[in-house]
Amino acid sequence: MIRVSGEQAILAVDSIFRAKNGKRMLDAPGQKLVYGMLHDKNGKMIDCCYAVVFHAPHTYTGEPMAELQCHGSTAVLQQALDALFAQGVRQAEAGEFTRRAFLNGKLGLSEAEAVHDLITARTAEAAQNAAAQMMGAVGSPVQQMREELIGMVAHFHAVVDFPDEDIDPILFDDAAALLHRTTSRLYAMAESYERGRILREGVPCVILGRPNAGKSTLLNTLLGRERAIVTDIPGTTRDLIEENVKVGQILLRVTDTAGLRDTTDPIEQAGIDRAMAEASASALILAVFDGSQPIGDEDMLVLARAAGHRAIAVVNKVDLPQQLDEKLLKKHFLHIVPLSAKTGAGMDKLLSLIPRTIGLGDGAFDGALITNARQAAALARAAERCEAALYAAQSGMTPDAVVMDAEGAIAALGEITGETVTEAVVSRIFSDFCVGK
Amino acid sequence: MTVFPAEAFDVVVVGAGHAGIEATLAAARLGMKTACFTINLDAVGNMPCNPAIGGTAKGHLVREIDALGGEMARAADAACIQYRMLNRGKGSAVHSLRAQADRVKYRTYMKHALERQEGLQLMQDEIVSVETENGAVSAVVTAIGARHPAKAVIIASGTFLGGRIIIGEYARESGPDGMAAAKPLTDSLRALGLRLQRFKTGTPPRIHRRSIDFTGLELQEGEKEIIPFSFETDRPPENRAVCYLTYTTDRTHELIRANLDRSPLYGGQIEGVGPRYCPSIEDKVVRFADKPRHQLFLEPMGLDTEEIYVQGFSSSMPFDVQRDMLHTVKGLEHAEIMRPAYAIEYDCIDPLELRPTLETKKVKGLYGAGQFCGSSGYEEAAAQGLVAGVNAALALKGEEPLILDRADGYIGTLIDDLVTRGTNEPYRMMTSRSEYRLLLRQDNADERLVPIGVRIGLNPSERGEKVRRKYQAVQEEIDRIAAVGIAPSDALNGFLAGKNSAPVKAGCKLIDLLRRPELGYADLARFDPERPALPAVIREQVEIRVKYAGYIDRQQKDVEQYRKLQSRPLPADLDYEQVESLRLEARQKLNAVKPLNFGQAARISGVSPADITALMIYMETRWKEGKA
Repeated sequence: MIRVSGEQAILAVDSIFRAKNGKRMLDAPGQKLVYGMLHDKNGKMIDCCYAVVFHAPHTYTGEPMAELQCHGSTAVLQQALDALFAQGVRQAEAGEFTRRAFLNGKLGLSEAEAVHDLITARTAEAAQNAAAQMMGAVGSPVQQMREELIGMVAHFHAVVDFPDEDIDPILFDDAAALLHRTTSRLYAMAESYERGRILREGVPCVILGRPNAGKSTLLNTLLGRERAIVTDIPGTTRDLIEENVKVGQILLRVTDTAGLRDTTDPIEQAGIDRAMAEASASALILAVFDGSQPIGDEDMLVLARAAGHRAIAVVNKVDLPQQLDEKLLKKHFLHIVPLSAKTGAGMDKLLSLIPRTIGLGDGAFDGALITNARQAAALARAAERCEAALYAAQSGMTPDAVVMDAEGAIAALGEITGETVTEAVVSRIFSDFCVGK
Repeated sequence: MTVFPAEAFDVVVVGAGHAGIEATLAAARLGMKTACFTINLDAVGNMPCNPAIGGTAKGHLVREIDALGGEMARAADAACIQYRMLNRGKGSAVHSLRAQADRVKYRTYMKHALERQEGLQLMQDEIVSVETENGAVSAVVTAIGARHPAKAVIIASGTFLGGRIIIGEYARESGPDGMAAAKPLTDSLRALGLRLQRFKTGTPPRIHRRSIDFTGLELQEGEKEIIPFSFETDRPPENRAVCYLTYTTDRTHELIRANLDRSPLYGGQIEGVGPRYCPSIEDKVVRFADKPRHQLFLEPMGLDTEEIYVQGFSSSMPFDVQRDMLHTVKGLEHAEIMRPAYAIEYDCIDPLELRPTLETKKVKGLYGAGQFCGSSGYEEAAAQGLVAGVNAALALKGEEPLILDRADGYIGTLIDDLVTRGTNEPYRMMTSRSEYRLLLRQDNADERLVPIGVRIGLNPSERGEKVRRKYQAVQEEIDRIAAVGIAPSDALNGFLAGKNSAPVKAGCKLIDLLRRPELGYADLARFDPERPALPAVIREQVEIRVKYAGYIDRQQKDVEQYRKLQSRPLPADLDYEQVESLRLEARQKLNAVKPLNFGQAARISGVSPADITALMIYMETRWKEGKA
């Protein structure tokens, strides 16, 4: 399907499409499929297909739009595009439809961001999360917390602005409990940004190990196909090989690296240097050891690099007689998985350990995650202000100061929902409290 | 009727209520030949509703008016008979002064102040039309046919304009307190193309003191240490009256429910929009059905009268129902009504018709102030009157206008709210409406606004110098306690323990102790032998500035952000219909307001942050195209 947007969109489609009913697309009613023939500028037929037009402003972008629904061959598609380009149409830039929709006021900021995430989602879970955001799974808890804070602030103002009214006093314990609860929820949501980012972008993961420990075999087993060239000549993988591997719900961006060893070969050394750099930037290291060999100097390089990182020790080649002493590994690694990359034995355990090691254990995907830096920053700011309000209340600051911090949190949350503070507070005073003269 | 030529004025003020008074005085004091017209000369500065000045946020307004060189605070200090500082214990930002006023004394003071002002003529007559030439004000015509040429006209018509009072099934054209309504002016203003709206407000009954049984009612006395409204009042006023507190009962509520069909509010005879915060007692009973009782305050109308104002009992019920309702209240079983409660409808302008100077966008030289601009309250009215009067004078002198912003004070917030967001109910000032309330305290209104009053010419320069010295002394004392060290000792730690405050282990500065919420400036005197003797106002400032330092800093940063947007201008001639990246609603709202800058645009209701982003992109492109 080809979609065209812009002032001339309908005209462009009209000039390359002849409807079977003889009417011009310029006169066609909106949102109605029209059957006809697609031709190039010389009148040569490209395809028999459907066209549909959408009239502004009731379109996704807010501009006139048209769609061609052709047969699904690449050749047909290419010819149709060429025909359109000949009419002055150009390829849209990434996200341009959404940007136009936003600029034309058809989408709010949060929605536009969610649509963007949806389009660029790499896994089904990321897509689900983006869809949930569009449906308000982020918005509604934010809305709810905001409402609760507004309720507290409005109560304060009702008491203060209407001192003659018989309004129940603000209970310190209730306010502190609300602030406490909200602070932790906000921090949790802000932190879910990191998890959300993982969903969207995948987890950078590096396979490290001495030469011929079986790194490439492990990658191939994870992939389920031969990608890296596997030989028993040490140093086969000289460059980095990146592959996307789906582990449960998580997208791993796995980089296979050159084996770590002292070498005089400058090309191999360059590969090793890159492997080291890659490892320090990754979120997870799979440190591969050869179980059929005792720990050697080259393994110590791997140990040193994996120290302090989220890492799993993979003791490979369990199908061979074992010589490796696991005691040393236990000092450096929380998780040790004996497996055979060749036979696949022990792979299940590795797969189940990966999500837990990177902090995405069971339940991590409940509800919507924050996948947007702007939202995450606003949530973090809201959390800080909420915490400051709690601290002010507990340290005996006067209520006007506590309320100022709470209003700061409400304002930060309003950046997500797109609302301002004072209006909301004033209308709550009137709806919740009986005030008057 | 014959219209005859009469004296010409620079500025004509229509109305001598709280808005009209400040407008008149400001214009005259800035050297304008000024006339003030009122329908009734005995009602200059009348208080047709509660006999009190100030209250939460309103007290802030009174002090700001005073700092700018207005009259209200001085009049209040001359006429008030019981003072209270509200919201003590809830923080300096929300401390507000309120005082019960002797309303006759207040009127007398204000009338005299106008009479004594040079260059000002106070006249009893009704303005029936405003004349224009080439889109600018040229004259006013009075009911008796006098045509006064005028360069500027300020409408401060209160509830007189198209006034109509309602008491149950009874209704008639009338201004407040039985005075005549102003009728023809409405049509004259409409003919100028101004969009008017109809608002409603109300007032409770007044009863005779001797008919009240005070036994068992809660006594409300004034505060011992009186803080006056005016920064210039040297001798504090005295408390000379008391109030009482009583409550409605089940029977009151039953009576109201049984008679709702006789209420014009519920029967549909009232078309004006009433304020949410000033609901009638029947409103309160209907909307908050689960509340078993409502508070009522019994407030004296003055020292030389037996009339008592029943605060909290606004009603538009018929007289007999009002009487029976009152008789169900403890202490009021035999209350004699002197004036019944009534609702009043009146005409006012849609404030979106106004610029931040309070001049109308459509007619040059025509200004509005007070209830005419959609506000409610004496203090809100006076604040606008001052701004309108100053701006009328500055415009005639060819000087820069006075536009206070939201960070300058509550006055700026009030006017910005009105002219930017508009209002569909009488607008009342509240602390919740100010986002910078920790900076805009009633205690520092002099620091914020006295210099502005000096600049425009309403304050003598000596007053500016006095304020500068005051705040210099505050800073010196803060610097001193920041330098004074205090060593740990048994005496100190014993004292701290008594205050539930953590002990001092190593030495610290005096200011560190003052930062603790549980310790006050006065508490630390015994550990501060070198302390100079300072006046209470300075000690108070030191304490506030130290305790709230973090909050004040943060709000100042917020203000910088706000002023950044405020300083990005928008062209006055921009047709937002042409900005296609804006949502339709935003285009209409922006065209209705024609904001001066991005800050004002962002506060218009119906304009979202995304619209502002789109507008910025539009202006950026326009600017680039203009350059290319």
